[in-house]
Amino acid sequence: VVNERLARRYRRRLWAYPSGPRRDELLDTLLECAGPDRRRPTVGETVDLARHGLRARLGRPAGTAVVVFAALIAIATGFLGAAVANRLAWAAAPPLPSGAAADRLASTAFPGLPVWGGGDAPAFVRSGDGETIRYGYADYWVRHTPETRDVAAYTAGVRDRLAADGWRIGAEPAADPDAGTDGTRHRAFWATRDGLLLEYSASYWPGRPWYDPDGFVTFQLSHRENAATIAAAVAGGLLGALAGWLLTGWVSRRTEPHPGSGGGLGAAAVVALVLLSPTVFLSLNAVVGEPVVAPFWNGLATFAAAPAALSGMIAVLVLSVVGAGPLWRRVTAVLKRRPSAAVAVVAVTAVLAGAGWYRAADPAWAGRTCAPAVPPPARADPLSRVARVYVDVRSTPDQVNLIQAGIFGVLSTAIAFQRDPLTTEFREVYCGGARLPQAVGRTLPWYFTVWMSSPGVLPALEAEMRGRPGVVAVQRVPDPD
Amino acid sequence: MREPTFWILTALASAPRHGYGVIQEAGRLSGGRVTLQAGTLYAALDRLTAEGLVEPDRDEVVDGRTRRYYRLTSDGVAALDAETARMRADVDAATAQLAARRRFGLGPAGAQRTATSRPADGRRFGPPGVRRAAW
Repeated sequence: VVNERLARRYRRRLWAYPSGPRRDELLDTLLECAGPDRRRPTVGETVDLARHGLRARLGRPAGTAVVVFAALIAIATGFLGAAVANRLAWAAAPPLPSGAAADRLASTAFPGLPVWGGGDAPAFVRSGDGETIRYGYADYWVRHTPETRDVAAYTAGVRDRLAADGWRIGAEPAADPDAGTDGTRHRAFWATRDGLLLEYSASYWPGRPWYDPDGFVTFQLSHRENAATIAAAVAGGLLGALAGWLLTGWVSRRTEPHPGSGGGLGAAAVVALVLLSPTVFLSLNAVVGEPVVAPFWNGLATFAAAPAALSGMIAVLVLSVVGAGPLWRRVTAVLKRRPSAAVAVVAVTAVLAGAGWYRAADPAWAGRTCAPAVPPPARADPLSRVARVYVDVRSTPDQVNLIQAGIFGVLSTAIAFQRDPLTTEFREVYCGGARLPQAVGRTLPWYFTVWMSSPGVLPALEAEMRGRPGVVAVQRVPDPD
Repeated sequence: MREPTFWILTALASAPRHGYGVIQEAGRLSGGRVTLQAGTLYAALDRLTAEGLVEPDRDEVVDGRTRRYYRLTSDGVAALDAETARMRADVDAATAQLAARRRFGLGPAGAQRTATSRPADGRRFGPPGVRRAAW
């Protein structure tokens, strides 16, 4: 009499094996070994079946190279899975403090002073040079008062007030060794609390002219990894590793009957793994004693993106060649029988591609002329960090200088201006690419583009620009990144 | 050759067997010392099949499930022969060493004493007489 319940439990464990007659053969052997009064598989059997089942999925039972490759590929795909899952989990991250919570934090750090900035930020932001990304942050800052200009003493006070409010101080206040020797005073520290990171920095630059800021007392508030994002990374990593192992096994078993296929596949795997390795190694590059400000998959979103994509292309190529082998043979067989069909397919594809390109062509080429509005409509995400300050064409050089000094008075990473109505950029801003008559363009306000440090800087920029002669409008615009 | 592999080839030497038959025979021949797990057995059978030492013999249907029997190939016989020859040479070498030891008057008691005093490392503690007697 077959013990049906035991058989069902064994069958579940046999999913570790690739489908095929081997599962039945093993089930038969396991039931014979089990004896009549066994109820459930032993732990030893479960481990043995999982281990040898995963090995059996790789095929090539006499080979060892395939196991090494499968393990390395599983590490790589596990990393990718962890990165994707972590990124997706961040989409559900709560916003940074705003309203009463932000006010409380601001008055704890800077009691009695008007505090600028605050608000929410995107989950991740790219540095100005595009070389790194980091967790999105909100800037909080105050302008100097006689009290804050004593940077060391004021910073010690901020540190003590935050520590009393439950913040864990990560590094005690210290001066930036790179701060200049021209009387510049500087102090920085960081602290953490409840999934938030606070990076404080205060600078005082004595001897600046009245229209330039003499430094800032500021902190950046950003999210840290939380239980949900870490759990997502672990789960994604395990799933990715399993997927990589199973795909490697699928490719290995499908190509097993072809002698010599192992060498080519091994070479492809080596190239793909080497291309992917910088991101994996970079993720281990945390510095002890410094706050973690970037996700572990930082490299994947920046400099290592191109080699990683190349690595993915190799994987897709191998998978499609292996998966579509029979299909490809059928297609080539048809083409050999009817070469005219091949010519027709190529011709139709070329015509369709050409038509698509024609439709996507420049609207200016289609002869459209625009009637520009001042300021031009801009539908920007409220978390965009880019703003434009529109300046009247009749403003004097002195007025322009003061506008520029005012822009320097808020936290920004870069500013640029565009005064030439003949440029593509100017035309894009006012007309979305349609034709802009030169006579009209010359009357339109030109503009500064300000890459603000964080989205919450805009109210401070608006306050600085309010009432300044020559300023026509201040506007948040979409971030081109 | 690892031990499970050796016992699988040994179990298949006298007759073709299916999975459970191999496990039983290996257990019996080793005096109950070797218990092969099913997963380990089939991983080894797959490897030995790929290496040409073992091949499927026949399929029998029992209780609606196919039971596959395996047999040694001539290469498998040669491999087992080579392995037993190697093991025999090992046994002969060890036996000769033990016989030489007894001839020099150390005898079984000497073996016991060396085991307690571990004289290969001269700095170990032990009764002085024993240390002199060893080696």
